Amino acid sequence: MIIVGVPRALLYYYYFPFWKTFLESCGAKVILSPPTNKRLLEKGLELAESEICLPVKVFLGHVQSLISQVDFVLVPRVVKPERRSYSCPKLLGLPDMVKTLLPSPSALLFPLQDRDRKKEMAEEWFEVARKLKGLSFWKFKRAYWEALKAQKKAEKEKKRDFYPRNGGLKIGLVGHPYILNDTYITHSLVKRLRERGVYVYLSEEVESSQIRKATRKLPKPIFWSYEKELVGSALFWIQNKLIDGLIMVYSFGCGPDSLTQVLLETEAFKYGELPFLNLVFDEHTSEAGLLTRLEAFLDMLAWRKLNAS
Amino acid sequence: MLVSSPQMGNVHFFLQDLFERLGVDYLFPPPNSRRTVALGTRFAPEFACFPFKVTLGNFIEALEAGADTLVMVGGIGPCRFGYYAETQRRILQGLGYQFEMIIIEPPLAHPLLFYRALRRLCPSLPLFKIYREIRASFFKAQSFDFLEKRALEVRPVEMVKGETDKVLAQVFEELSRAKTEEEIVEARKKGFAKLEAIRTKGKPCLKVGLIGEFYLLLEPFANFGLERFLNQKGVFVERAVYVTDWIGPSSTNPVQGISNEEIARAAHPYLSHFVGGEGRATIGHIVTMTQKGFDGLIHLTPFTCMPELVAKSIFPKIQSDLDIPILSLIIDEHTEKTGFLTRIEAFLDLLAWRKNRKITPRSTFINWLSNKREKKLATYGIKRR
Repeated sequence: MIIVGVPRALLYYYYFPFWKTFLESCGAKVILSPPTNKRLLEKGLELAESEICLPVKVFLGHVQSLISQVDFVLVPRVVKPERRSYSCPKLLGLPDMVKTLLPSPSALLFPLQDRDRKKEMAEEWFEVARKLKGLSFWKFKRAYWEALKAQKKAEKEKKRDFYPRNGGLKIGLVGHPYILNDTYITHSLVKRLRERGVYVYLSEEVESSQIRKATRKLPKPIFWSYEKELVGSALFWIQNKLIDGLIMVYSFGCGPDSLTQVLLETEAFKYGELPFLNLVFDEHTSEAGLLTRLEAFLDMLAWRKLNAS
Repeated sequence: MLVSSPQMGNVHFFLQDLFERLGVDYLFPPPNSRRTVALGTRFAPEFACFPFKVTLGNFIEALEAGADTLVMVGGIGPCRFGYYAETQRRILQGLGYQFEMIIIEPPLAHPLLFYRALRRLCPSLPLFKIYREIRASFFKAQSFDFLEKRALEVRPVEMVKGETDKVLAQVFEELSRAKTEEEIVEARKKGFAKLEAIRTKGKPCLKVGLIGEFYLLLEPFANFGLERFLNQKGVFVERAVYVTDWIGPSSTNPVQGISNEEIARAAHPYLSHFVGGEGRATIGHIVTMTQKGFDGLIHLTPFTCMPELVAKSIFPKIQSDLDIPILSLIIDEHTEKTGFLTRIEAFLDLLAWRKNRKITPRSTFINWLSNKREKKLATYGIKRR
C-alpha cells in the first residue's frame, strides 16, 4: 500500500477534507505529521530562508519529518482558490521551495489547485491518481467529484449562524487558520481567550455570502482570497456591531496582512472607535509577553463596556 | 488640478512629457531624501516593503508642496504592489490631507477602470487623441531607456572619468525637448552618435548582472547609485528591468531584449510557476545571464518582499548547479550606503579573484582535499551551506 504524507501546516487547514477523500479513494493511506512541536519548528528554521514567514518555516519542518516515513508527500500548488483572486506568492512557490530543499524531490506530489483553470487542475490530479495506483478515468472522475463534494460539505459545517446578543465580552479574531489552529506557535491563543469567558468569533465561521456583502463597498476589491475572507468577516462583525474588540493575528513578514492591517484599523476606527489589537507572531514570541498584552486588552475592553453601560 | 506621482528612475521623463501633452499640470515630486524615507517609515505599516514607504514619503512631500491629485499605478496579482495605492490613500486620508487619488489600472486587464482614470485626468480630450499622445510619449520614454542602456555599456571603459554622465545629461535634455515623432527619432540618433563619440580604452574588467525587485533596480536613491558605482570601477553592468519594459504592454521587453516567455522557459527547471512580482524573472535572468558568461550577479530585494523571497529560497540550488556567485542584498530604511557599498566592493574582489585564478596542480590538490572533507562531513549528516 502506498503511503502519502500530508504536512499538518499551511493549507492542511483549508483543504484536508478534499485531499483525504481523494487520496483514500485512490487506494493510498494518508498519514499526517504530528502537531507542531519544538523539534519540528527547529528543523524548519534550519531549512528555510531566515526572512520567510513563520508558517512556511513550520511547513518545511513538517515536510522534513514526514519524508522518511512515506512514499509521497503532498504539497499542492494553490494559485486561485476563488475566481479572480490569488493566494500568496509563498504558497504559489511552495512546491518549488520544497523541491530545492529536499534531498529526494521525486517523492513530491504537487498538483495544481486553480479555480480559473479547472481542466488543468483535474488533469494534474489525474496525474496524481495515476502515480498512486492505476485508476481508470471513470473511477478517477468519481473520486475527484466526491472529494470536491466532501470539501464543500466540510466548509459548510464550519459555518455558524449564531450571534450571542448579551453576556460577556465578544471578540473578533482575525487570522489565518494555519496560525490560529496551531496551538504551539500561538501558545493556544483561542483556548486562552475562551477560558477567560470571552466569546470568540472566527473568520472561517462566517458565511461566504456575508463576506461578499461586507467587502462589496471597498473601493478596490482585495485580490488575495484568504485575506478577502479575513477582511470580509472582520468588516461583517464591525458593520453589524457584533463585537467589542478586534484582534488581528499574523506572522512576522506576512505580506498581504501588513497592508490589510491598515484597512481594518481605519474601518474599526470609523465604526465607533472599536479597540484594535495587533499581535504579530514569530518563532521568538514568548508566552508571558503575549499573555500580558492579552490581559491588558481584555481589561481595557471590560472597562470600556462598564463605562458605556 | 496639480498632479503628482512617486519617483522611480526615469519614470518622471515619461510622466512629465505625457502630462504636458495631455494639458495636465504636473508637479515634480521633491527629490528622494532621508526625509522622504523617514516620513514614509513613520506612517507606513511596520512590515510593508521599502518601496511602499518611499512612495508614501513621496506622496506626503508632494502634498506638502501643493499637489492635490496623486497618480499611482494599480494592478492585480499575488504581489502586494497592486494594493499600494488603496492603502496609501487610506493612510494619507487618516493624516488629514485633502486630495484625490487616481489609480491607473493596467489597460488590458481592466479597460473600464483605466478609461475612468483617464477621464478623471483629462475630461475633455477625445479618446483617439489621448491614445496618440500616450503612444508618442511612450516612444520617447523608450528612447530614454535605450540611451541609458547604451551609456551603461560605455561608462565602464570611458577614457575621461565622468564624461559619459555629462554627455548623457546633455542628450537627455535634448531629447526631452523633442515633441513630434520625427524630432524624437532625430534626437535619439544624435544621442547615440554622441555616446558613440566618447573616447574609450580597454574593455571592462568584469561583467555583473543586476537582478531583483524593479523599484530597487530602477531608483538610484534606493540602491545608492549602484550602477554608477560599478561602472566607475570599470565593471560592465546589465540590468534586468527597464522602465518602459515594466510599464509597456508587450511581453517582449524591447529594451532588455529577453521576452517574458524566454525568461519563463529559462526559469522552468527551478521555478515552474509564476509567483507574482519579479520572482520568476529573477530566476530566469540568473539562468540567461549565466549562459551569457557573466562573472557574478547582484540581487536586490526589499525586506519582506514575497516573490523575491521565494526566488531567494531557490538560490542555493541554482548557485551550485550553475556555478555562479550571487550576492543577495536586502534593502530597507536602515540600510546604510557605506556598509552596502563595502559589501559590493568585497564581492567585486571575489569575482576578480575568481576570474583570474589559475588552475595549478596545487589548486587542484586543494580542491580535491576539500571535496573529500565535505564528503566525510556528509557521512556524519553535516551539510555545509
